[in-house]
Amino acid sequence: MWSLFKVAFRNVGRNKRRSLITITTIFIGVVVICGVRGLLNGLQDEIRSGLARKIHGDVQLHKTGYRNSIDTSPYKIMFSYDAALQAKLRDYPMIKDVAPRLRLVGLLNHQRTQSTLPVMIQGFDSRHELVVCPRAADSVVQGRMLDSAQERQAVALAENDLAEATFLDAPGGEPSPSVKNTTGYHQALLSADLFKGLGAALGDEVVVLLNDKNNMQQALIATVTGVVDFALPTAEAKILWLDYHTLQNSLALHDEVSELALAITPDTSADAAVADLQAMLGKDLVAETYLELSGFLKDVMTIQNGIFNVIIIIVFAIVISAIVNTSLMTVMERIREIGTLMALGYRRRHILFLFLAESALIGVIGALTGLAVAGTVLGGLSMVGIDVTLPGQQVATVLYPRVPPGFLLFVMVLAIGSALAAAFVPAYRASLMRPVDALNKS
Amino acid sequence: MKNLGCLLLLMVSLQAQAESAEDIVKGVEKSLSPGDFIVTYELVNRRLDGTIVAYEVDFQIKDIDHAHGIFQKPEREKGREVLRVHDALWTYMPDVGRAIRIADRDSFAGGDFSNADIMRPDWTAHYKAQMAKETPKQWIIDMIAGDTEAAYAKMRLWVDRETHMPMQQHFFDSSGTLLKQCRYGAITRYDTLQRPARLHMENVLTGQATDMRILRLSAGQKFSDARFSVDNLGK
Repeated sequence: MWSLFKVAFRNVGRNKRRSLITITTIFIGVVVICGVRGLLNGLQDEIRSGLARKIHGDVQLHKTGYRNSIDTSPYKIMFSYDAALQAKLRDYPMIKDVAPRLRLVGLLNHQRTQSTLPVMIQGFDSRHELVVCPRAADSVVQGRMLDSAQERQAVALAENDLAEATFLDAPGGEPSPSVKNTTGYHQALLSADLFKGLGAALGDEVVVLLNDKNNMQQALIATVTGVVDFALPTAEAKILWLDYHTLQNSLALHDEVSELALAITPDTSADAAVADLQAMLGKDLVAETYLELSGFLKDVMTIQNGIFNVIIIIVFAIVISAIVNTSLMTVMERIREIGTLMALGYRRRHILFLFLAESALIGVIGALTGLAVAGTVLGGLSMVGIDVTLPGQQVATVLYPRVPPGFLLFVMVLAIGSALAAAFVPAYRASLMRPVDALNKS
Repeated sequence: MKNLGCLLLLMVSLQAQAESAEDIVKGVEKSLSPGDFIVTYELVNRRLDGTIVAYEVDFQIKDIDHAHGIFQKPEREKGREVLRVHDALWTYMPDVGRAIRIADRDSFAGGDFSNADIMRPDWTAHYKAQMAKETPKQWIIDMIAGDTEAAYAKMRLWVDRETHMPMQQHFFDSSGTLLKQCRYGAITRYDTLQRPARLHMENVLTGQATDMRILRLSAGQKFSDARFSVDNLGK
């Protein structure tokens, strides 16, 4: 058998050009597959990181029915983040931090332009939010991140005004005296779309109008301190962020939250955390991973993976057809040699083995060189990153391509397997030849 | 015994004061919406970009729970109707020939008055009135929302002691932020009724304002119950 291996080695070197073409085909196939997978992994890592570290946190806790009611009945899905729940989550070792959030719908009035728009309002406490979503601060493309420690609750000056009034038509009754309303300092972050749509500038004053749970109108005066661009296709384009405690005070909420965003320890998977939390919390609250919360992007990634699988099939179909072609030519050229080997006592299985060994050798060389080049290039890129920031996008999007070792092994097996599969039919046909017929072929 | 008498007198006096705040507000309500009257309001919405939109609306008001209004001006809005029947409020748009349920807190004709401000000044039903301050000339009364039907968390009403007419009103949210202020003027006598003929409502948060003026008012009218039926809107 070893002698057949040696023959196979020699045969690969005999027709260098043809072997080189076949090796190059496999090499290109391997590089393309690894390259595409590496870039796709980089893109999907960026999406995952964006979702988990900028927006959702690793895991979120909601009340049942959250998704159906968050936009229409935000108070219906609020739940109490009371001391008992806080203690329960604090005692859970896999949780790094918990960020309470409020989500509501309201109106935003931009004072300078007097534009009023319906907005999604999100309240967060920056002290916890930046632990759960550390990349959220990187998404502030203008101004600065909201700092909950800087919030100053308003003192209602107008409410303390008990000075006498005058009739509208009395001397000096018009115009109405200007009212110094409230003191206090509230920070507002606007999404980039909202900021642009309003024609706002940093430092502008905005009035947030929202109804409390008794459907009574409440108002908040805030200063625009930052602009947020997640550089991700999120469902809501018009989002306003305010401080969680400020919103709580304004809406007379006590410990209610719309959602709890959780950061879990790096050694815990989000799926495992969800399963554990769900078992601990029972049916009242639903634990979901960041991917479950972003159904659209999860679907996008599934489609991407499906397309990638099609690319693998197409690339290796081309590789196999090239190998089949060269193997057939090799067999045709070596019919007399096959006859000679058989006349010397080599059995059909030896002939089959010889051609398969040649093909496998070519597959190994092509796959190894392809993996070496792809691995080196991707390894380098994974350290420096590839900037794929779109024109007009204010946050740099950098992909870090990577291919896990398991995938490299899979590509190696696939390349060699494809070479063997492609060579099997020609090799089998060669093994079926009768020595006399083979020797008679010119 | 003397001390006890003083204490009793003080308690009676405090009780009288609390009641008087309620009574004063009821008096103001009565002057603004006496029942069984026809009134034509002119509303002028002044926007910050300089836009001025004027409306003229004829109202038939039977009582606090039954009111019907029909727009006369501008031409584009002519025939639009509003109807209050107890807590339900409807608007009828002739273009589509349908009645649509609207909310008390919604803006009336896109201005700064809410539907409740115009069509239902029944403050004592939803707010608890208490005297915030008394001066020789004015009563300053706070009205704190007592139920979820109230449009504002708190209102403050300035009332002239001499005429018992409202002078000014502030509308607050629950954190004490002033949302709107209404100023009253042009106290006018209409037959047996005396009331302010001009109201200036300013949204202090947006800076926009709406002026309301009474063009005609006729008290002591009788209306058919059919007028206050949703089925009869547009007829």
